[in-house]
Amino acid sequence: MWIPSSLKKLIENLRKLPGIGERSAYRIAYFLIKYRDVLNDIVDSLEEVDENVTLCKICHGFAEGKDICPICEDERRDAGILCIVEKPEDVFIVESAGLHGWKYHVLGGLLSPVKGVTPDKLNIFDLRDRIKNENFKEIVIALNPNIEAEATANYLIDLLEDMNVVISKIAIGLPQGADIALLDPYTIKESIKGRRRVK
Amino acid sequence: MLKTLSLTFFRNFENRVFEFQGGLNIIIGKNGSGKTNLLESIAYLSFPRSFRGVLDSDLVMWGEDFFRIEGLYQDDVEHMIKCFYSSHNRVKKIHVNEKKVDRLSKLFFLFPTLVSTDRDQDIVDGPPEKRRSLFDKLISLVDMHYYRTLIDYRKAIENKNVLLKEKRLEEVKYWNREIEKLSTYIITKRTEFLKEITMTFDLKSGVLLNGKKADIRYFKKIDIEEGILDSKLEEELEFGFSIYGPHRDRFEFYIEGRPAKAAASEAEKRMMLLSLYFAFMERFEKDKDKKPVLILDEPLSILDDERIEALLGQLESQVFITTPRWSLQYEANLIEL
Ligand SMILES: Nc1ncnc2c1ncn2[C@@H]1O[C@H](COP(=O)(O)OP(=O)(O)OP(=O)(O)O)[C@@H](O)[C@H]1O
Ligand SMILES: [Mg+2]
Ligand SMILES: [Zn+2]
Repeated sequence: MWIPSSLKKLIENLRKLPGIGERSAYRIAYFLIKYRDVLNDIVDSLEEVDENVTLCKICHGFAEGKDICPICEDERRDAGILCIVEKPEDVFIVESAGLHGWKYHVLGGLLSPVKGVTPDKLNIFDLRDRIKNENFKEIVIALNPNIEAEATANYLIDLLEDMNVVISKIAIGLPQGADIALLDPYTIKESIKGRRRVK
Repeated sequence: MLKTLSLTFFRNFENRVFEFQGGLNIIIGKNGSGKTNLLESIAYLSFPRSFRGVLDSDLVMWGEDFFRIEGLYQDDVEHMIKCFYSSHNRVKKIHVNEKKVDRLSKLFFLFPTLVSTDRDQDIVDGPPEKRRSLFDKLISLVDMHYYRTLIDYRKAIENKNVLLKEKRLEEVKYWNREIEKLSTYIITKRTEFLKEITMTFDLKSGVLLNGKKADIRYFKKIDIEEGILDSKLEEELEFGFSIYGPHRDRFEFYIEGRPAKAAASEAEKRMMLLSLYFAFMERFEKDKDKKPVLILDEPLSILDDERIEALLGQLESQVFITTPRWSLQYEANLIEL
C-alpha cells in the first residue's frame, strides 16, 4: 500500500504520545492535513513550549523563559508551608484548590527499587537546605495514594526527622493508576483542610 | 442461570447450540467427545481464559481462525454475553448486550462461576502456594479492597526484594513500614473469611465426608507488630529475599485432626475442596445476591453411590456436571454429546 512517507512518519510519531493508538493516530493525522490552520497553530505552540518551558532551579516545577518560576519569586507566598509533590503538573492541581501562600517542591519521581529509582534520582539533594533557608514551618506531602508514594513519604519523614517542622500528608488522588489530575478542586480543598499530621 | 449456549469453532464444536436448566445439567459423552471443552466454554463466559491454562489460540478449532461463544444468562433480566477471539490478529472481543466490556473482571460479577476439576486434589496436597492463591482468589471475589491490597503488597515485596538483593539496607525500612500495614489488613481479612465460612464448611464437609470431620487451618508466618520486619532484616538478607509476611502464610486442610495431605483419600480431598466451594458460594451470595454457577468436571467417577447421593443432595444453584455414563433417577437436564 502506498502512503506518503511524511504522513507515515507523522503517524509513527503520534503513536509515541500517551493514550494514542494506531487508529487515533491516523484520525489525527488526516485531520491535521485537512485543517492546515490547526496544524500551523500546533506547530507554533510546540515550538513555543519547547523554547520557553523549563524547570525551575528552586522548586523543579515548571518555569517559563527564566530559571526561576513565578511561584518561587512570589514574596507574598509567606505562609511557611512547603508542599511536596511528585510531578511539575501536580503543582497546578494543588493550586487549583485556591490556596494562598504555599510554595512547592517537585520530587520528579517516586522511590522504586524495581524501576531503578533510587533516592539520589529524586530532587531531594536541596530539600533540607531549602527548608532551612526559606524558613518553612510545615511540610505537606501531597502524593498519589500508591505504594511507591507511601514508601517515598516514609523516606521523606525520615529525612526531615531532625528538622524543626510539622509534617502532614494529604491523601489525594484515587488509588491505583488513577492520577492526581483527575480530582476536582473541591475534593482537594477538603483533603487539605483535613490533612493528617504525621510528625 | 445460563439458559442457552452457542458455540462456533470452539475446540471440537463446529457449530452447536445447547439449552440448559436452572438446576442440575448432566453432560454425558465418551472420552474425547468434548465434555470438558463444553465446561471450558461456559467458564470462559465468566472468566475469559481457559481453566485448563491453555492459550486462547488453542481453543480455536483446528484449521479455523476464530471462535465464538454466546451465552444467554438470566438473573433478574437477561444478558447476552458474547466472547469472540480471532487467532489471526489475536484479538479478544467481549460484549454484554451488544455493549463492549472493557474490564474482563466485570464479567465474573455478572456471571459468577466456580470450577472444580480433578486437579483440585493437587490444591489440597500440593505446595502451599496453590492453597494460598486459591484463598486469595476467593477472598478477592467478595472483597475488592482485599484484592487491591494484595496487589500493593506484592509490589512492596518486589521492591523490597530488589533492595535485599542489592544489599541496600538503609532503604528497606521505608518499605517494611508499608508492608506491615498491608500485612495487618491481609491477615485480618483472611482470618475473618475463614471464620465466616466455617459453619457452612463444617456442615457440607460433614455430609460429603460421611461424618468425618474436616477443617481448614490458617498458619501465619509471623505475627505482625510495628518494627517486627526490621528486626528480621539480617535473616532476610542472608536469603536475599523476603521470607517473613503473609506471602509465606499457609492454609492447610485437615481430616479427623490430621493433615489431609497424609490422611485423606483422593475422593475425600476433592470433597473437602467442594465443601469449601459450597461455603464460598453462600458467602458470595450473602454479599452479591447471586449464587455462582457450579461447574464440576467428572466428580462422580471417583465416588461411591452413597457419596454421589450426598453430593447431588447438596447442590443448590445451577450446576454442570460431566460424566461418561448416567443411570441415576435424578431430576436433571441431560445433554448428550
Ligand atoms: N482446538 C481444537 N480443535 C478441534 N478439536 C479439539 C481442539 N482441542 C481439543 N479438541 C478435541 O477435543 C477432545 C478433548 O475434548 P475433552 O477434553 O472435552 O474430552 P472429554 O469429553 O472431556 O473427555 P474425557 O472423558 O477423556 O475427559 C480431544 O480429543 C480433541 O480431539
Ligand atoms: Mg474431560
Ligand atoms: Zn519554582
